[in-house]
Amino acid sequence: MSSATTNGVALRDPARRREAFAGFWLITPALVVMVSMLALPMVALVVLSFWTQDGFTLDTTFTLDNYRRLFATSERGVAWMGMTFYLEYPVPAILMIKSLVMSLTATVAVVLMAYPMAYFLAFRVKRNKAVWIILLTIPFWTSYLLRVFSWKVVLGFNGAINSGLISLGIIDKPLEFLLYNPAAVMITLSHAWVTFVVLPIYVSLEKIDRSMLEAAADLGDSRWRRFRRITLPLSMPGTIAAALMVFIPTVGDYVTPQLVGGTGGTMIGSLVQQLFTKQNDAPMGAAVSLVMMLVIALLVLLFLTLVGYWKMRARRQG
Amino acid sequence: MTPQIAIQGVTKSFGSFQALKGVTFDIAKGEFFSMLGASGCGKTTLLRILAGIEQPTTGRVSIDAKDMTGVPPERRPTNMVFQSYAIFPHMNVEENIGYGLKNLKLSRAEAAAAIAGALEMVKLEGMAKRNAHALSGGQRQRVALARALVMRPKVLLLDEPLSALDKKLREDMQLELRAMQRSLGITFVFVTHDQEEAMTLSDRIAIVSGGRILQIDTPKRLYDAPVNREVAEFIGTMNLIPARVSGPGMVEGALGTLSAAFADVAPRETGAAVHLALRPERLRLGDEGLGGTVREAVYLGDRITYLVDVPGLAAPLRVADSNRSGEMRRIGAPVRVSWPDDAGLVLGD
Repeated sequence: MSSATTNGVALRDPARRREAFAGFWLITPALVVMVSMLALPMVALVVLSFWTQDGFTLDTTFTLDNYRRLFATSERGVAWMGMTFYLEYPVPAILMIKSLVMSLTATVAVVLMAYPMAYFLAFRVKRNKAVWIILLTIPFWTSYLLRVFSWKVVLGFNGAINSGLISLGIIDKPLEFLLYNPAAVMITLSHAWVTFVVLPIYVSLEKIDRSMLEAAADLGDSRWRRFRRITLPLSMPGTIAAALMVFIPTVGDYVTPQLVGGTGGTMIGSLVQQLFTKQNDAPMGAAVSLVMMLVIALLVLLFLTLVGYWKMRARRQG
Repeated sequence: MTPQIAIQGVTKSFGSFQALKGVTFDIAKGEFFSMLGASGCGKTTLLRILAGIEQPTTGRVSIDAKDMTGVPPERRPTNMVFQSYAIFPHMNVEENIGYGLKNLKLSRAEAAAAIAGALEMVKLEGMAKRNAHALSGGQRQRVALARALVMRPKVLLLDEPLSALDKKLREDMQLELRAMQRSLGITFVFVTHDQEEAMTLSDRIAIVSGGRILQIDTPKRLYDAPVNREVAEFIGTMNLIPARVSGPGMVEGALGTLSAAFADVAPRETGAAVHLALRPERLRLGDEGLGGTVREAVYLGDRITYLVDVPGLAAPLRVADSNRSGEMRRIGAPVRVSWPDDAGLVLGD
């Protein structure tokens, strides 16, 4: 227990002690925010999920009924997208899978769009990088809501795409499949999150020592092999972090589906919101959110484990 | 000496800055060739042009009589040891050394044998699986060297590879590098700002300054017969005394008229401003010669360095005494300084 002794010594020394207190005061604001805004609501959510809603009052006796209901099987199956769900209450499960697929699609699209932008910024832009970065953030100068609404204007019945195509004579009546469906949600999400992904990928690319690439070329690598063997692996940590940064929050998003998703584009977040409000079943809403959180956490864990495994295998094969 | 590398009229500009202002010389096959100069003199730029990382603005480089213009680094018979070593951080020692072998058509067994041989050459046996970030500076330097040598290049380019190592390790590595170069017979082109290192290692040294080559010669010739004042000051220390040419083989200055060897190829006109250059170790303290007083005396064991104030000279003369008598002169003591007739060199600026 050497750390205990050193701590003891440290605290007996008045200068060290002052330093320790300064450190404590420095983390206090963050700690207060974290406890009151994150830890406490989490505890409240967990507690709530073990209660039941009884009309207008909350029944505070401990029960696992909410969870039981979520996982209760049924003889009769409900089919959705070629899959059959043998569940009594299949809506959350269906919406969960749908949300995960939509988020994953948006995440992949975002990373695929952002990587070339980040690459260009890191390797091709030589001067005025700050100007380019500021240009990238311009969409953030307006609110998220406005940006989502502008997609409504672009994709809508009388929107930019439809009226443009009509005036060009390519179609004679507006396309209805543009808005109020999962695709519209995924397009909007991708656009909304691209900048958040460009920046971390840019940072991880910018950090790569240029002499690494020179050395790879000197050792016989073509431009493409250099990218595959040096740039891509060295930018992977930033890219993975960026992908998680999009995936995790978008799974639970309910604003975007509500505005551009229509009935076909609802996601799990929309259900949680409805459970808490219209359906007046907060305990069920809490249970659904917690299960969602758990599923996302497990998926992320699985993904990171896989990444570690791929890395090991790639190393072994070289 | 067959020239292996021919550099012809190479210039390089970065925007308005001219890093190389027209360089022409040959490097022989199997030679240990150094480029010596202060930082920013253009020596590293020239090395990068040889590697193909930079393209010359004008002029051309050929290796083994093949024009290298437009040939990218991956298709040149050269390999480089980078100043920062550029060890790939996401790979271990073995993977770093085997990196370039993946681009050659080698069987698994051939590649493994080549890596094992390279590890042995740089004395890193048993470190094959060590991670890149767990290596010390000296080990990183060895990995970088092995990674380049395993490719069996015709020319090995080294960009100040020893500058990040401490003195003892640097001296050991110098000897190892020299031995390695002799046994492999590969042409080494070595860039350094350390004149002692260049002299220890090289068959020939090019003195680079301001984007030009001032002199290319063996270490001995550079020391004994520098072509101008800049080279003289770069290699070792030199006492420089302003003078004027007074006739064939004669200069005249604050010290009176003296005979001196004219190192320059170009004959100097009578009356031209020159410097009389004297190496400190050729000066003697004794009973004859110029009178002066000892300003400073530094005891270094194998020699004693004196600064001697001589009336009429702006700077004191630096005298390196071989300390054979074991006697040290006191500061302020009157002394006389003399030198053999062939010690004085006449140098232009």
